[in-house]
Amino acid sequence: MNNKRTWVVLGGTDIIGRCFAREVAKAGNDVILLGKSRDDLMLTADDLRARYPEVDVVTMELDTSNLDSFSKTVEQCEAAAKNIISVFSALETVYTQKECGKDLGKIKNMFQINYFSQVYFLSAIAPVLQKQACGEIIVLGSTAGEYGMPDNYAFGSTKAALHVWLQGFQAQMAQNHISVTTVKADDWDTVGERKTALFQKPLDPRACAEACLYYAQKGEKIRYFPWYSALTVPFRRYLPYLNKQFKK
Amino acid sequence: MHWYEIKLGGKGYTNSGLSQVCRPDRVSDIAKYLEQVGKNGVIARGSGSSYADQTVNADGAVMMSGRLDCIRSFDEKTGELICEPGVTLKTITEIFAPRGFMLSVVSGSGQHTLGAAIAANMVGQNAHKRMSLAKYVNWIDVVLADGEIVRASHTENEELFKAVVGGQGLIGFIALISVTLLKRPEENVLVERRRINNLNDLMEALKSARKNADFCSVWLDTSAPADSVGRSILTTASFTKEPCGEPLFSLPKIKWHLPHFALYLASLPVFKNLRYRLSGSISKKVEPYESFLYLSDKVKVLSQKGVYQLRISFSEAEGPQAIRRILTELSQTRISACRAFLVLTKEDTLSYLGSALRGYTISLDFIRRRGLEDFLKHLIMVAGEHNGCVSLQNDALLEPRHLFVMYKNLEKFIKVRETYDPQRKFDSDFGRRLFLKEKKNEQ
Repeated sequence: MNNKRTWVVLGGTDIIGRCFAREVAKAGNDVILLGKSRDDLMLTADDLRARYPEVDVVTMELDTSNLDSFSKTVEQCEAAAKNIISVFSALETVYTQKECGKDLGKIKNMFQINYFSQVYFLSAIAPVLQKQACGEIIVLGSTAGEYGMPDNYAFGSTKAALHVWLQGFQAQMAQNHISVTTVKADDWDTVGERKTALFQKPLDPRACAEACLYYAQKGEKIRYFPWYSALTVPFRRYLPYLNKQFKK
Repeated sequence: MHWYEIKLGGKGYTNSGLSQVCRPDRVSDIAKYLEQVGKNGVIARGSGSSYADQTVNADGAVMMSGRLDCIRSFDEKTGELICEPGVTLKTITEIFAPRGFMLSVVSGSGQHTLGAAIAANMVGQNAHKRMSLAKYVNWIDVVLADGEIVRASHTENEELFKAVVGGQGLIGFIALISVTLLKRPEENVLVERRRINNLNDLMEALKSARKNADFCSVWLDTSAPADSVGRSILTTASFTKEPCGEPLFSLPKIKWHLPHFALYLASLPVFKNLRYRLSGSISKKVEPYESFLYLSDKVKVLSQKGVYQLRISFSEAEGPQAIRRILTELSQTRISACRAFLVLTKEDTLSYLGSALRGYTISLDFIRRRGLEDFLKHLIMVAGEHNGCVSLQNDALLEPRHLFVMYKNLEKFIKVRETYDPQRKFDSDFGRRLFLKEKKNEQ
């Protein structure tokens, strides 16, 4: 990535999106922040302007309940961008399985935000990137999408669906020299109501944002954060099976 | 809004407890979380740099401020920075030092969050010049137990301000901070390191450092023999116009993760002797300001066996005598501190629980071992005899009776706490250790 970019950050009001926006702004890139709440967007924009006054920051509200409005948002992004457009998507909402059990609407809400919104937006912006014939797309996945756990399998299923869609999308975009990187984050924020945390230290959002940018620069397709999750995820996935074998 | 059950401990691993933990993303979420707080109340936690139980709340709630890290505005003309409490000191330095600004207080670690630094009324290597951070705080917005946000400053709600600053989070949650950053005089600092043979020479050197140096700290050899008590290495630094020379080679900047064994090594008399001997009698070096800061962040000791820190402030008159007594006792008992530092301080009247006196602050780290707690309690008694004041920032052993002797404004602090948080919604193991007994005694 030698040229200056305009990074479109979906979920720019959440912690990972905010940290990613800081990382790219630190490198001198412009930022377009997309998010649900106008106040939160302004908060993040003010933060970026105070930290890096030379960076151009634009905010746009994104209504995730109205997927049809995304094409207009993409047009606005294209008009506002002064450089090559790249996309970072960290749109995410999390409910525990218990919360989903009480209100099935929460599962629908999670699919709407975690899957449909990202899929619609990336599909809408894909032609813009294809026209550029360069650029990067980074999508924040989750290790919860790798295997179902009793406390968050509804959330995990939204991520699993997204992972599969991204695999196909990545192959399609590669034809136009656009890299699509999926970073599967492992965080106790997403584990629902687990009583004991394996790692006492929560995920460092800044380190995660740095890793996302690094992986995109390397043109990686799928990576885990932290890196050792790539080793622990298969182990955790087959743990119930192994446990069963032991009991036999 | 989620709560997680996590076992949290202090940096020194002397105290830990299972708590319900939340991480608000927005200032507006704080009050919502506060509504859900139950038994044992809640305590704010920044980066968890306190050694003991200051941010531990067993069977209670802990509110982590790390995600409240937005900078709201910065005025280049006045240096006024308005930000949320989770912004770390290192972040402020990284962003504003290249623009010619610096924080008023320079600490050994940049990992502290600004909110925690205010709640602990942090003093640093330039405490003899700049006093504590509180002096440069214009105002703070405090979320009280009922969820109301109140602004406190040196002129507005002054009592609340004095109680929150240095109050270890026992009054309310600091939600927004306005602090003045100082114009940095020069880009580089001239760092001078001197080997000093004994305490008398050290006190003489410190007198001149108090007048001339911008930053000053002393590494003490706690295992020095009786005839050379106070053997030390004095580091002073002052801003300079001189350019810094390019090193012939530089090691890659990595953070060293050392095992617990390294702490034992650091407390061995042989190691201390070696460190003292290997340092030149005098050395001078011009360094960029940024690389001079936060030296303790370069090394992290991976240890869960327990480290106590005792930090005591003495007045200028009592200091030399008290420090001599402490160092002599350490030498005689052969209880060696794994880390011992001395800084110069200016009187701190801005906080009800401020410990700094105009004089000296000695900081001693000890690895937990059998009988150590009794010895440290004895040192606390020694401090009391010399009118010293044990800092609450990292303390693990102070008792309520010591507080009344050492902190003249303690009653004012208790009164403010009774006014703003009578139900003690903001509480911690530290708060219960030092203030619960006092309440029972009063009853």
